[in-house]
Amino acid sequence: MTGVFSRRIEAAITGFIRRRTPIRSTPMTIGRRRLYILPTRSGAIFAVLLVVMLLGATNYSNSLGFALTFWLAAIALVSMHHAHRNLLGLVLTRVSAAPVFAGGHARFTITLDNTARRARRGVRISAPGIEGEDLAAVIAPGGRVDLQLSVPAARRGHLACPRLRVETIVPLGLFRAWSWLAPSAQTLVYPQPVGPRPRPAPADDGDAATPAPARGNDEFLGHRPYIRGDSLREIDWKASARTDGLLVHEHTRRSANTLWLDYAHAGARDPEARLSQLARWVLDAERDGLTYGLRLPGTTLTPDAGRGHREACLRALALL
Amino acid sequence: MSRAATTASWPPAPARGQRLRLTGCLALVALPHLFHLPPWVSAIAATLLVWQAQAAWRSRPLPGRLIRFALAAAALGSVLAGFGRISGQEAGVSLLVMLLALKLCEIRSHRDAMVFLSLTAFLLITQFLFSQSLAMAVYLVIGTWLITAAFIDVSSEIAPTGAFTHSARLLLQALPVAALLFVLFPRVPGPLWGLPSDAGARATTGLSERMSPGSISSLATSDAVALRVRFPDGDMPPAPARYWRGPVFWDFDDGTWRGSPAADALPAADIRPVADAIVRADITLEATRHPWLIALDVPLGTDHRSRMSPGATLHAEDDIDERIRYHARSALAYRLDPQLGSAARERATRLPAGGNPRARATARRWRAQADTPQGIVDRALTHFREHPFHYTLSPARTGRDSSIDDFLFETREGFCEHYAGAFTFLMRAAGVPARVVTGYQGGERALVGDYWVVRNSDAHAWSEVWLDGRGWVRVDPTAAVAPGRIEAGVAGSLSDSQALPYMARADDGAWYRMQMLWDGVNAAWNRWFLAYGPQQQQRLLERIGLGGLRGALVALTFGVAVLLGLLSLWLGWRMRQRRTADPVTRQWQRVCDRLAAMGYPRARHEGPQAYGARVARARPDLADELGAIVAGYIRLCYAANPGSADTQAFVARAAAFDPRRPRKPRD
Repeated sequence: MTGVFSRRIEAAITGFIRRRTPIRSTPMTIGRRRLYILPTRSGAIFAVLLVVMLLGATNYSNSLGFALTFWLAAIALVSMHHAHRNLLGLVLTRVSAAPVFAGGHARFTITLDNTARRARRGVRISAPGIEGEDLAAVIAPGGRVDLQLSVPAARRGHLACPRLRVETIVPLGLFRAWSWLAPSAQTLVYPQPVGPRPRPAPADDGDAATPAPARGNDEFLGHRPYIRGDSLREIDWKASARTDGLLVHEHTRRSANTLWLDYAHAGARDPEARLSQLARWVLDAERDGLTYGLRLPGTTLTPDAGRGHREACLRALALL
Repeated sequence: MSRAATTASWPPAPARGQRLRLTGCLALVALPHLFHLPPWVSAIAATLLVWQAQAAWRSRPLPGRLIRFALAAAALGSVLAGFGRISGQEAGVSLLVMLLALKLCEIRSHRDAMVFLSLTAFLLITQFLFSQSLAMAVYLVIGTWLITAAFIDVSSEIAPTGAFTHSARLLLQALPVAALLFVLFPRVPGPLWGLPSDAGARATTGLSERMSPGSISSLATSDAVALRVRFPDGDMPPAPARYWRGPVFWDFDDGTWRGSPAADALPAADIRPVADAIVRADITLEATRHPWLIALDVPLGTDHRSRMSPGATLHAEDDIDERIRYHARSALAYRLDPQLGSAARERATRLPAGGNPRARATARRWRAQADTPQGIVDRALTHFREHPFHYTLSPARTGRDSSIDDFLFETREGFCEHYAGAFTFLMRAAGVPARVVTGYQGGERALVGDYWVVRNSDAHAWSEVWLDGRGWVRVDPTAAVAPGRIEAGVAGSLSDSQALPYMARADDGAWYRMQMLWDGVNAAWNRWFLAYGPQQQQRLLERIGLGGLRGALVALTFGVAVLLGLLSLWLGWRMRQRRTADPVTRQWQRVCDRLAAMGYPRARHEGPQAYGARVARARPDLADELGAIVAGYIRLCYAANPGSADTQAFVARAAAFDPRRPRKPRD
């Protein structure tokens, strides 16, 4: 009976908070309307002791007892105000996280800015259901801190930043002030790079005759004079300024052979397993310095090499 | 993704420095208790504190459960053995001090530290049961400052010096709120429950319910203030009229005067004041642990609930266990009991069957010689005046059964109780109704403030005789021997004034003036702060036009209190539910705690996998077992519907995990 009742109340409270925590883009400021405050359990124990002290002072008509009791109560009340102020106006400036592979943890970096003229202390960030937390011991007036929160990346695709709980018990530990923030930030989760199949060998077909255009990520060899047809982006203007003619970067030539990584040939029936296999192959191909292309249902990435290409492939795998 | 985040590791448990500072905080708050607790309690508490300070200094681990339990039982046992109980002020405070010192041994979490500090605040308040002097107010400020700083120290990420300044700021900011609460928070008259029998045990010097040789002269050596008086309409009456009436003794036996008859045994005194001789006095009486309300002789009534005894003493309904303030009306000229009932007359002339034959014979001779009772009185006073009687604080000893004879005819030295006792005896032996009255005589003007101070050293005893047509008449035989006693106080009449306390000596050096100044400050403290209670609050509210508000204030306060109480009960019950709901999280937390104890604490942002991997790199011997636990934990956390078998397996594995004794790797 009470169980049902309390569960309903709890659900109502959660719903209320959720409605009041709309997903927003950063920066966002902790305002009065979304800042909650309640006694901690230690605060409740302290309150009970204050009541006992009040009864004792009344029983003995002890004026110093009354003075102490009321002073402690007033201190607790003022500390509640301090806890509230410690979070009020705190700015969540940015939330970002580098992409990760499924099965790992996305490390969200949460940047907090203190625009106030007072220092803020003991600001803790956590997220419900997420183990791990981070604490800013002090944020100087006008200062900034980066807090880290590791969020498990279970499945490939987009991983949204969880609802964040920003809280503090400063100064006395008797009251906990907290706010819920739901930044719209997200990161990519690539498929877990696992698969039983060995990387296919590069096919020496006609396409391979055309060398892949060299890109900035290849190994830098030196400069050579500009010849017509070179891309303008290859010109090294700084180096050219020191000579008469224009100079362009020269890079290593990649293997002439192109590797096609094809969804259709990635083995397992389970599409997730196939994507994992493809991710494994992408990593291997990049490691081995190959030029590789990716054929997915509905998408094809033309053969290329380099870090940017690898990320593009993984991204395609993540979002398929 | 539905598992609640673990918060058991936050806020963090107190570190070494914090443990040391908590120990110091308790030591300082407990310090004033050492002066009035039995030495053995102080010794035990000090030993425990030093032990804990040392353990914290050397970062020694906390003692095990068995040791803590044994120590707590020993503390309880020692209090039981020492006091015979664990309730009551002294026993309770002794137990609290010792258990708080022991609590230091088991501060493992932030909440432990918080509970410890709340109880330390409670220890602070118990000090005020023993004293409420101005020095205690200073102690209150320092103690509150220390405790608040310690709260900040364990809860805010701040350096200890910062905690002190922050605490000072908090105290100042809270002061206006506290003052408002002190003045306006609805006060209910106490006591709510019985006072322990040793309440106010320190304040037992004062008038007694019996009078034997030595009982008042022992008071004469006490400087303590008995009462302070303010005269709203005028000034203190002249010295010969400064008699403060206390208990009256009717019965004499074994050399001791005692026994104020109950109201049902004799009718209450019938006082007929002379109209223009009524004096109003505003009296602040120190705690006496007796019900008498002291007032100028003879009292007519007070605004405090009281009744008039047959001996014309005002009796409050209960013992005066704390300093009280009341307005008393007295008549300096009066007729007391113009008619004496036969029962009262019988009681006022009763003497024991035998003893003191010489005194009896003398009284019979006087009676035969004098024509009237007044003549007998005069004859007795002449006897005291003409014989070499000495007024002294240290008279020679007299026999118990022959105390009157010895005093009257042999030693002839004594203090007021000797003179009053002997005179009353003589009157009774001569058939004149007489009784002994005790109280105070005199008083001195305070240097600061418009009031007078009466001290224990002003305690006095005199006689009353009943004369036909005049009623009870005060006769002070001490005045016959040492007239200076009445005019100038004890010091004016004693030959050995060195035996008197400093304040009772007739001397007005700088020290004396400083003392009187200090007494003025104390009197203001008593009048404005300590005496503030329900009545003063009501008066204040009436003065600012909010007299009718008190009822509403009381109702509102208690309504809100009940509501808050119910709410916190519900919240507490819910939190309990949540805590026991999740064995998986709890076991994982245990594993983390154990690893942290081995020197591998989990970083705040570290997920289970990263943490497990880091520990496994550092301790390859744990890798297998830890890997299995981490894998199981992650599976249970993120699985859509974890099976109960999985949960049980994880809980069993995690519970068995002991990084100090890793299992042999299976090969």
